[in-house]
Amino acid sequence: MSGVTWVYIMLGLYIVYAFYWGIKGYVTEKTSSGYAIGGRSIPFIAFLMAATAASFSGWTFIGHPGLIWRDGLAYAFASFYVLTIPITGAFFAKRNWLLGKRYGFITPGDMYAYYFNSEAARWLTVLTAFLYSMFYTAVQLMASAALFHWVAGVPVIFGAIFMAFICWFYVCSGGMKASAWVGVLQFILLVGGIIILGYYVITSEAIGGWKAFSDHVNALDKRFLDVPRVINWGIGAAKGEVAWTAVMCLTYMFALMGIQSSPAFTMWNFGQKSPAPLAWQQTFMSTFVVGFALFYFTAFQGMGAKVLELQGVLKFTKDSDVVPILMKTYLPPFVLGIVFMGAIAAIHSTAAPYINTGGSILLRDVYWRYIRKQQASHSEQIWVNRILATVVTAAALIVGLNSTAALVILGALATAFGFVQYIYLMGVHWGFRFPAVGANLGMLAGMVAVFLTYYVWPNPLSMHSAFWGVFAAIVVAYLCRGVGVKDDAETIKRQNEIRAFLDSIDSPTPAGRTWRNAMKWVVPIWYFFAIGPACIWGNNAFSFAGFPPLWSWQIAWWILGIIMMWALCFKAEMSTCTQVMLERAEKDKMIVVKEA
Amino acid sequence: MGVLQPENITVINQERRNLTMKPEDLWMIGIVAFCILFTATFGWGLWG
Repeated sequence: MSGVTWVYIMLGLYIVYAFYWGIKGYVTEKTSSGYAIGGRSIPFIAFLMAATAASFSGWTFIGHPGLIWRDGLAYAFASFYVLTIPITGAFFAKRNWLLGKRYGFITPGDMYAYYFNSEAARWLTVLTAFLYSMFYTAVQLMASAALFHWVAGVPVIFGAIFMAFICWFYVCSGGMKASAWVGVLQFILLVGGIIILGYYVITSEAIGGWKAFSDHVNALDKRFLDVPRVINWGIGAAKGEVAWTAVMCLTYMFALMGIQSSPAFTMWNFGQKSPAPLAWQQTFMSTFVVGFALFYFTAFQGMGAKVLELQGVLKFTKDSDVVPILMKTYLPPFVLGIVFMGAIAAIHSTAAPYINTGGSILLRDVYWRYIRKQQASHSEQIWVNRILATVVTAAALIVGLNSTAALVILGALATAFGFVQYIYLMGVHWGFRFPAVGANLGMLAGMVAVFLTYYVWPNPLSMHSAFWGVFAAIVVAYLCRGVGVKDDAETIKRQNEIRAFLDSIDSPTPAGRTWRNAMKWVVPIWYFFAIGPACIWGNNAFSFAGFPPLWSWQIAWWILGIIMMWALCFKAEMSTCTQVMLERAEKDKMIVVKEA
Repeated sequence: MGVLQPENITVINQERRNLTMKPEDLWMIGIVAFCILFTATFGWGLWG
């Protein structure tokens, strides 16, 4: 059978699995929160795998190797997002769950509006969620259409509509829990697909195994093997150099830290049955399993494509062509079907949660609260939620099909906007003291700064817009405090009550506190050396097993990063829970959000 | 040395339990060892 036949067979099996969970959710989910956040009962294994799959989009599968081909090993520092995405979860996820459980929050807007006693916080979060969901979903759907076109020859418009339909069906019919259970399979396909493709590239006849590959890579132009400089004192990259200065590597990771601080992920935390999977997801599934796929196998694909291009074996015109061409050239028919599904799974695993949470946030924060004045039944909410999720999907498709050139920009803006949500999360979960007005103005200033430093003056000092966004947000928030803006008595009372609750239920043990104090030094030091200014030393520091120096640096700091995440999540107790905590969370309720 | 009394054995067992590594510690050690060995396989020529 041909590769295309296997592609359709695998796609058929995948559709059966996805639709099964969609229809099952349609039959079983009967409440608004049951549909929107899985009834706060997403089980351990489903969250463990689905949250990991959702964190790493189709762009990881298709775009990441392509950019390594284009920019070389300096860009491969982006693989460190296997650690920087879940580290946001280590900071906030457990406390998201605790507050969701106690106060009955369904959307992040509920939480921020309650804590800051300000509906402006809700609206800014709705705006972030809508932009994020629409643009990020658009990027995913168009990527799936492009791949479908490359591999099976399906026209892009038809492919985009077909791929959107699959995702839309299981999300709209089954809600968050269906999305989570489909995510389990998607995680396996995603990681398996990356590893398989990398393996076939490195062992292909044209490359000839590791020794030959290593010799070719080490002989490449320095442009593809080095970080060009620590910082560029100007706008964007220095002339003739790749954009990936050391500070760009660092601040780009800040942008991707925005994935788990985005409204969608906060809702996923509300949907968990318990916080028990968090530490395992952050340390092992994300940092180790996905890291294993990225640090070795995507780099094989990207650098392999460069070697094959220089040998005249393959020709690539743009970075997004790299993975589809490698797939078509080096994979046997059956394996092509598997890897194609890996790519589609990666794309859907990200699009689905954003469609689901985008619809739910519009439903709860706009329709239910402002249009129906908190008077709609469960059934009405579920059906309107489905309609709004359809609107998000349709908007994503329209944006995707009509403004392809702007898509990459819009997708990157989305994650940077997500990172600006740190301003709210820092206040709610860790008691950073700035007034509600400061938090809202800071959020607004951060979004404006992201837009300006991405679009108008791209990357000042060669630093990503996500950095400038959060920098502006923090400066504005504290300026408001500095000029004497104060919260009213009701707001202060709410905030003190939440602080007292979190301090009583989530204080570390003496051993945990010691680890936390150590991690306050260890984490910044790791950032500084692994992906910060000191990563320039990786150009010549050491080399092992045939890997060029910068690649060796990345592998060594990734392994140290696994140890750091283990210490942070488990030993410093940032993501662990105790039986006492779980029992208290079940009983100690103070519901402030009406569900229906 | 006198004979250990049951209550002392309980205390010793309790201390031993406190010293025992947790599953996440074993996983971390195993994974780091795997990563180092896997990287080394390239140097050993197992990948051609």
